Amino acid sequence: MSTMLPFQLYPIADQAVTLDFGGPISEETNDRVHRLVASLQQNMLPGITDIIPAYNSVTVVYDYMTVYQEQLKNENILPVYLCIENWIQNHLNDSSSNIEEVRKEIIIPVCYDKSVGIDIEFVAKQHNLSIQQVIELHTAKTYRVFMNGFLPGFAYMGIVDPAIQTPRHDIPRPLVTAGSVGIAGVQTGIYPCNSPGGWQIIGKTPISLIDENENLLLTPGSFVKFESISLLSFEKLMKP
Amino acid sequence: MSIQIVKAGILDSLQGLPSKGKQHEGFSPGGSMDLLAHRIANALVGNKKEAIVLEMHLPAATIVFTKETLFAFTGAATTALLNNETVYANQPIVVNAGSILSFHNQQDSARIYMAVQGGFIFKKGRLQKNDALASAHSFDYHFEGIGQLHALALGWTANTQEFYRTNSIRCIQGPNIHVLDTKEIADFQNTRFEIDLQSNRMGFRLKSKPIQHSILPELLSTAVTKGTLQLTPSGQLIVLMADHQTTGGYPRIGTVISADMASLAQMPIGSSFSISWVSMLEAEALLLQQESNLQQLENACKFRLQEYFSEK
Repeated sequence: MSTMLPFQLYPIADQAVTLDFGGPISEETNDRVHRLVASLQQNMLPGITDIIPAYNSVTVVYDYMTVYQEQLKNENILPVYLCIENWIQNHLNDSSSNIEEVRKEIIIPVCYDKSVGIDIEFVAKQHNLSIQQVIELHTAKTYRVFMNGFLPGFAYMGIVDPAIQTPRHDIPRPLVTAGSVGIAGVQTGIYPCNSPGGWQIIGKTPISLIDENENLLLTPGSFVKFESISLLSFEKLMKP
Repeated sequence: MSIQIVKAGILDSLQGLPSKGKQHEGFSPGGSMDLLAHRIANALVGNKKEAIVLEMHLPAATIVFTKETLFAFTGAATTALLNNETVYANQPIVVNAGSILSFHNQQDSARIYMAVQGGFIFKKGRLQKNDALASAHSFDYHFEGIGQLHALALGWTANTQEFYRTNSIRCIQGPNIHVLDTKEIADFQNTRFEIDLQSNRMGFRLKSKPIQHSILPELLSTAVTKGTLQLTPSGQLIVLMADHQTTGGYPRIGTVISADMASLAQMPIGSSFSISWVSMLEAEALLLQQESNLQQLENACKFRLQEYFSEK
């Protein structure tokens, strides 16, 4: 028997509802998020268009008219958003025994050279470390993908060693290039494409995060280890 | 082939309805900014509502029709020039191959939507001069007797006025509304929010007197939707539009109701509006009402087209 854990359930739009577990970034809460997502996916309602997991919340986006018409058939007179909230809540404590845990281990080569890791020197100075120590600390851990978002293929990963956690820039850069590996507080991530961005850039990977069929390399269930490569191998790998 | 862009507009693109089921991977739903206009343009030419339309910002493209086509336009243009003759918005029009369509600037709205019968075939990215756009399939209806005419309006006009509002936009309150005090919340209906120059299909920046708020909480990234009102550290709002990011970390003080998104999408840069708060129940009722009106219009268009062509 699982106990009821605290959560909040509220509409964020007239066609979207969020279930929010609250609290800081934690693997335990994020496990709960993905269990709920899996359970909702197995018990889909007509009219649900997107189920979006985040660190500690799940957002369900729906087509109002489809859900409304379905409720009419069932002679249900509740407002549509309450039907969705009830549906989410009803699956909150589903047994997770029939949910397959997929664990995908991925090694990502990263060049930490100053020429591509444009903030690594700053990060090192902030923490009174050498650049080599920053690299060792960043490559030592296996990171969990908590969620996708921000840009197609972007994965929010963590938890970064406290010794190198660095807040994002106050003013985002107008351009961060594709493949840039960054840190923002407890989070680390890779820019899948050129984009404005505020994260501290400590390296760059030649690996592509999204293929031509829009399949993503990193999704929840992926566990990532970074491997330091030289500038020379980076440049070789970057050549087509 | 059915049309060719002979002069590109400032931002022309082909748009469908928002895509579904990809937001958890970071893909924005996209789609037409003004979904009402999208559906009205399609209804006028007898298309299904999901058919691809041409969305044009002002100044809009100049287009040549490469074959006989049934087309219609709606949104930010009440008239257009077809071979130097005036044609009107919200009407199905048969046009001959070789005809040239151009729009003059009409700045009271922001986006023009054009549909051709059969719908366009999707092509990614911004449209350029010389881009030729195919329509999905050939005519279901046969046009005989248009002869030497350049164009033939079929003779009816959809009334779209009732769908749009200009002065105030209705919103529900968001999960982080409590960073504002009750007076500030109430004051939104007396405040003018102006659509800033730095606005695009991703979001509108709103210029207003600085919004007074308590210390903003550090929030974890979470899903955001079209219409979300994000409060930035500078005390200004950003409202998310069709190409919005899927997640965000700014406090969310409210969300534009679905029934008012088309009106907001048609507000040009520099125009302003106030925000009035409604409940979820009101938002749902307004959406249901709008959908019912729109379906009535779609059915009427379908009926008129069938009637017209059965008489031919």
